[in-house]
Amino acid sequence: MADTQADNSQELLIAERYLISLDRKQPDLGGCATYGAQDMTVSGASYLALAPFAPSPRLTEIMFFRHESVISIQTHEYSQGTLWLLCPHPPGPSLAEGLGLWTENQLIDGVIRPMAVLLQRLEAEKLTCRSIRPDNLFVGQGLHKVVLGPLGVAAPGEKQPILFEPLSSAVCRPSARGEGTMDCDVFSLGVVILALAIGKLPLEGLSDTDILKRRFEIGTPAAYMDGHNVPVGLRSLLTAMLSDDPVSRPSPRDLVTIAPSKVFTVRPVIPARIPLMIGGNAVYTPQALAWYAGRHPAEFSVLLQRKVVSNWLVRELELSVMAGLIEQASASFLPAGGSKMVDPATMVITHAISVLDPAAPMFWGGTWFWPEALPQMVVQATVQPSTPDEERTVRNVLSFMMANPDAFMSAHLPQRQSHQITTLSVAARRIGTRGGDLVRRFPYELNRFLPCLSKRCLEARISLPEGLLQWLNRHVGIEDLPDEVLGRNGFLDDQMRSFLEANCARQGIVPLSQSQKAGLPGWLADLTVLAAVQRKFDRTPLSFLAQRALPLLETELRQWRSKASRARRRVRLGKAAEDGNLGTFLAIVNDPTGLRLDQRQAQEAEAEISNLMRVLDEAPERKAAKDREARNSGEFFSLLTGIAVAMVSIWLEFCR
Amino acid sequence: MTPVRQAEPESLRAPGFRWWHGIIIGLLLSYVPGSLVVAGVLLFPLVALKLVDPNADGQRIMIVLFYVGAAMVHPLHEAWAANGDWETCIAQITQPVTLALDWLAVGAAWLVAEASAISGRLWNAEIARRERKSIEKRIAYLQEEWMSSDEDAPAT
Repeated sequence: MADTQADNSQELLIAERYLISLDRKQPDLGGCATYGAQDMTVSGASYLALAPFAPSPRLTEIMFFRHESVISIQTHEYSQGTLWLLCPHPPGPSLAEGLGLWTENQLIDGVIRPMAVLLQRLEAEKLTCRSIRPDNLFVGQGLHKVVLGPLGVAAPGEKQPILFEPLSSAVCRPSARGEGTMDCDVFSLGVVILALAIGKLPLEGLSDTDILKRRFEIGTPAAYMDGHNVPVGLRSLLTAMLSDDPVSRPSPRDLVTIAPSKVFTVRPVIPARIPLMIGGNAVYTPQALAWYAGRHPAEFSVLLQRKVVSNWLVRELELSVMAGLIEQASASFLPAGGSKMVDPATMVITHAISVLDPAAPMFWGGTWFWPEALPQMVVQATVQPSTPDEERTVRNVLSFMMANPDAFMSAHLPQRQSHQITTLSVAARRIGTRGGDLVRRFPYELNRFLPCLSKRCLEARISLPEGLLQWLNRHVGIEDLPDEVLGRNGFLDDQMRSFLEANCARQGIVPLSQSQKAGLPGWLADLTVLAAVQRKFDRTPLSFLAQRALPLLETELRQWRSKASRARRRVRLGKAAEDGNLGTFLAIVNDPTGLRLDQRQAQEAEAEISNLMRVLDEAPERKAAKDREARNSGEFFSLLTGIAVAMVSIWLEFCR
Repeated sequence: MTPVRQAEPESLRAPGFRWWHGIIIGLLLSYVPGSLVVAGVLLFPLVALKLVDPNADGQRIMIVLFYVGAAMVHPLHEAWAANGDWETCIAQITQPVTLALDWLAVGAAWLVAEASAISGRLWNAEIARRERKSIEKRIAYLQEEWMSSDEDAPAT
């Protein structure tokens, strides 16, 4: 993946082919930032470059999905670890720019049928789109046929206005909506059809809470359609599509075979004759009661304990089975054994709400959410928390749920919720860590397109480990990472660590076990992780990173007793730092065999020193013996010369 | 000359003397008195050395003996050639050159012995000094290599 930053930083060339003009910002497509782009190899081929932040975890499957009613993703490329998606321009303006007034036949041929075929295909692939809303639907000039924006480029359902979401996800915060089901898409499609049929959005101008209140009060179909001139032929279709009970909504197959004035039947919702008052609101249906229970949990638990709820269900709604289940749920208010960890009151409310409205999301810890959306909630709470303690709350919810899945399993939650919790706890067990670490790693584990959420590199949207390495290599200067921060926290922050660990785990490597990590200073543990990542993912040298680590590693060389060895290793460190291969760089210092040898040699040297000291101490004693010896040898020499002189004298006397 | 002759066995009466030494000297005295007188006179410096230098042990005496022996060769040869002629012997021992040579031989022997002992000692001291220096150097190297830290090393 060769990518080069063009001289002008406003242009980005990726895959040596697509030139993205960062200064030509286009309207957001599918809920993510969009730029103009060009294919350099084909003249005049213009594209849109999408910069998704947290796309759907199933983006891989979605990218292979092609359909005429959806703008397909042409290709995806990574530039410096950042994901870019390229797709063609939409055929025309979006519906948000002008709804127009569509006739029944135009709606059937241009909206319902094509979208139903699309939904049917998606259903077969077990995908959902969760992005059917006017600003993501495009109409060709002069045509009456809608095309949906690219799928999966934003978190599912996160950009949907409350108006276009069924009650089962509208009550949640956008990040807590989860993947949803095909029924959710059918509902959104119903709202779009209604808006096109009446020429404007229903309930326009109301706040989100007011919209919800109104929908719970009289049911969504009535809330949306009352007072509008809805074509008669579409009335039963829309009533079915907008139904608050997912089971009553038509399936995509029903919609494909639609004909004008086709009649759909919906089981009517019978409101209570006398409302139940909770928090000053009159409640007519169990669904509404479930929602208000979440808004006023204290009051609701009082009503439960006084058996007001069950009595009301039996007398006013004749729902004796539901009343019996509610009785059972509220019975566990009594002090009973069981897990001490779970706050029983909250758990009882969760249970009671799931009995009142089996299609509702989970209510626990004061928030509505679908368990499968928890990773996305963590992401959202980390990136831009809406309240200061949102991050803490979401983390607590997730870590508690992962630590005690049994507590939720025993609460007899609806199947969809308990299924999602099981999936999450299986994933948690696979990750194998605990506590805060687990919560941080969770989003990365479940979504490999998620960029690193560290505050330092959030802007760069880095979703490849090698991209993060390169980014770090470019941002390890003293101004980005002061010395005291480096000494205290190491090279990475928690998010980066979790990101890299998750990516390593995906490749089946564990760079550093918890026990090893405990014994190392932070920066050294980080370097070890980085070296493992570099070895596995990317061979590009990381010289700046190594240079920055050089002084730290040099102090680590103090372990070596031998000065020469230290000097030698220091030179090798310097060279390895220039080469930028962290593995060899670290191996110079992390060398147990060499260190052991060094230690042994140091001990030998100590022994030798003490030995030599003793030799020096004993020198005077030996001197006396040496002197005697010297005298003897001197005298021996004298004797020899004497003998020689005598012999010479004899020779002179006799032989001459 | 008599005192010399008498003094000779007296002074040499060391613990090592046996009765047969006396017999030999007696025999020599009776057959070659001249040669014996020459030998006795020429060996006198040895006695003097023994008296003067208390450190002169057997080995030292042995060394000196060889030098003195070297000086004695000529007079003894002369005495022998003259068949122990008394006059010749007297002439030999009264010759100043011979006597001077004899005394010089003792002095030289003593000098050579002392000098070689001293130079041996000096040589040894030099070796010990060198050895000590090399050991100290080795210790310094080991301490520098294994016991120092890099605190003062220039930062790279």
